[in-house]
Amino acid sequence: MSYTITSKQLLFTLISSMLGVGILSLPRVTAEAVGQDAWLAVILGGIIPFVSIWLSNKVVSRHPGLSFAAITEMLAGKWAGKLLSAAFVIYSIIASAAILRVFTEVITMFLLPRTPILVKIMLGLAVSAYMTSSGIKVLGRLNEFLFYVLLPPLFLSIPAVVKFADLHYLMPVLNNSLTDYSKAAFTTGFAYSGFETIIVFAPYVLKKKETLKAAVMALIITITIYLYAVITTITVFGSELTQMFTWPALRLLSVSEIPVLERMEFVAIIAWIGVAIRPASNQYFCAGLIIKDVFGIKSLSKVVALLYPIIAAIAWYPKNISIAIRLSDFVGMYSLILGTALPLLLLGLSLIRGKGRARDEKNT
Amino acid sequence: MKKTHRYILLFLAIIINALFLSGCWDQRELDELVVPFIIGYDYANEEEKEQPDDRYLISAGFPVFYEDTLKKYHVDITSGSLDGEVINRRNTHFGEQIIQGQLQIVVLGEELISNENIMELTDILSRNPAVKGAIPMAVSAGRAADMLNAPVKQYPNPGIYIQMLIKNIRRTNFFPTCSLFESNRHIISNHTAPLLPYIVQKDGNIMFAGSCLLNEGKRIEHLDREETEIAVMLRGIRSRGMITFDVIEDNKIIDQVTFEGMNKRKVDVKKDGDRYIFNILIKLSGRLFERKKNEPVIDHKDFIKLSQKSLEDLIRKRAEDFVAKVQEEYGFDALELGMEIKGHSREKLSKEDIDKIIQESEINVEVKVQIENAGGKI
Repeated sequence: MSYTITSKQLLFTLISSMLGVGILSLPRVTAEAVGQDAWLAVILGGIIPFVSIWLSNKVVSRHPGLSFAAITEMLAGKWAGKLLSAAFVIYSIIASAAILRVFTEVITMFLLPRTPILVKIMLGLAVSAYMTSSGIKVLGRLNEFLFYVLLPPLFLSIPAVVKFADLHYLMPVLNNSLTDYSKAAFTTGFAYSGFETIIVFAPYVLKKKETLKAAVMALIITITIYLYAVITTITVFGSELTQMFTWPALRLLSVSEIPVLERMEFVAIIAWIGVAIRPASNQYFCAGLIIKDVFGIKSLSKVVALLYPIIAAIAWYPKNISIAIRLSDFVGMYSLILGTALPLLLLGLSLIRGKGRARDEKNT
Repeated sequence: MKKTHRYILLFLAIIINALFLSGCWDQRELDELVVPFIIGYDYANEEEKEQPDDRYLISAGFPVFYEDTLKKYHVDITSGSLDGEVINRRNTHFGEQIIQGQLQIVVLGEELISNENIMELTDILSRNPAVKGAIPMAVSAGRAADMLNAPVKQYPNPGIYIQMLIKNIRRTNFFPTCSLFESNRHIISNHTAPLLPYIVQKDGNIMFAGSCLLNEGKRIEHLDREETEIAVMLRGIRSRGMITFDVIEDNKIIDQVTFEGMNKRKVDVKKDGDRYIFNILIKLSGRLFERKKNEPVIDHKDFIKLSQKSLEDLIRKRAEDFVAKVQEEYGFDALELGMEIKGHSREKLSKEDIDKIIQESEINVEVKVQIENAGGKI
């Protein structure tokens, strides 16, 4: 592994992988599940990513110096390892396509309604491909830089909150059953999808000891931003009205006007384009890197070029917005399953192999 | 890869990007655009219908930017069975492309809003992300189309005039404003009747004449100026305004003054068994704006106190009358208590439940007036 990233870059890379298009619809999906307790669903939704991060870090720290593809092959054997890598690659390709498609839908609705979807997909993906082909170091730096671009659009909702927010919309607290909360935690899957990329990025972190801390911090920052988005939206719209908007977090910006800027949602979207492209790029990178490692291809750019038409085709496939949303829901579920089952399996194999090796050494 | 190859690839990428520049598809010439800033909704009369099935008449006020034209303001009136059809038909007799993003105000005809749900009428606006949620709405006495065409003396057109009037009314009078988003929030999230300003044409002027309560999205009641002021205070719609009243001491009128200030509301909710008890506190704070008797305020040591007490009694009396009317006559939430009720109940309450609670609950009103100063004259 010739390239490395700092733990700080890992932190921003993980935030970038999670925080993208999911935030715009998160208030709606959580409000549909548990009404005014949507904020609780956001917190509960963070439990699975937390477990996944812990497991992934355990796996990676037990095999220092090995990439994800090398770890799977070493633990599961050559062919089974390749299969596990393939499962991750397929997920990353679909996730990248789904994120890109949802991103395109937002752009279509707010900025470029007449531009063909395919053109927007190809252009967005071209940016992602360029970011991805530059390697993990550049990706890490871009993720860090673009994180700061996200902050100003978040604060644009403050005038609406100051003018219209009412805490009564969060009451009564804890008014749903345990089953509802569990379901709600799963509905946040798409918003948190991206946490599983830690297993791919962690082996490249310079100071291994800081990996877990950085990853947990990334999750906490993501949860905080999600909480802000959900609470502000629900306290302004109420949980019922929130459920009626496709992108409630964006709609929030249109309810108040501030002088000069006037239409803040358009300002936010322009800034947000840079933010939303990051998770697609990170997933694209993961797919490319794993393929490169599995097949021993020297150039990442070639793999990126090869993946470009595949991701574009998948992103273009949904015929309408509801199919695109279903695709993103599928990605959310896939990420929860993959993000927990894969590191759990690898850790199990690692423990078994570790015990076996210890026994062999003892016998010798 | 050689360096020259990289440059060639980069050059090709730039060329492809330039060809695919997405702006090309969405580019629009400014000269070819028209921006309506006021629209009015009415029922279409028989003679106004373009097709027999047409139901609605939508008027749109446009500024005219061409130099050599007779008028600088044009009102287009088109009928259709739905808003979308009206827009579509409008395009057949309009040279320019219509852009809805700069829409500033929506006026609803009285007859139409008495029979049709405001959420269904304005669905096209709520659905269109180009239209801001902060767009204010008003109900017009008579037809909205007439209001949009009314000549206004001191303004270039009625559109600008109505917009200015609505924008500033909450800063000068205890009058409500209600935006598209607020109206939707009242109906969907709070199960409360939105309170929309009511405008009339009088002596060649367009002016406010109270407000309208829209139960279940339809106009049900018209409130006069005095009731509107009280409704604004009871609902906690923050505004500023003036109230002229008599100062009473020992049941005798000793003076007449004008109060200028702002209002706030605080609601305390209690439950006695299944019965709700609401204690609404209206807070008014401001200054003594005018006094009829030309005497120093400090001459009467209790004058400020008496003024406060007189205004408190006046507002309380009016508020209690309005609350009684809401409970006995209207029977729905006209006091913006729905949100409070839902916040204090663990059951999922429907609009009917909220209405029933409003009818059966105990609603007490307390008024607190704080006169901070008496202006620049002692």
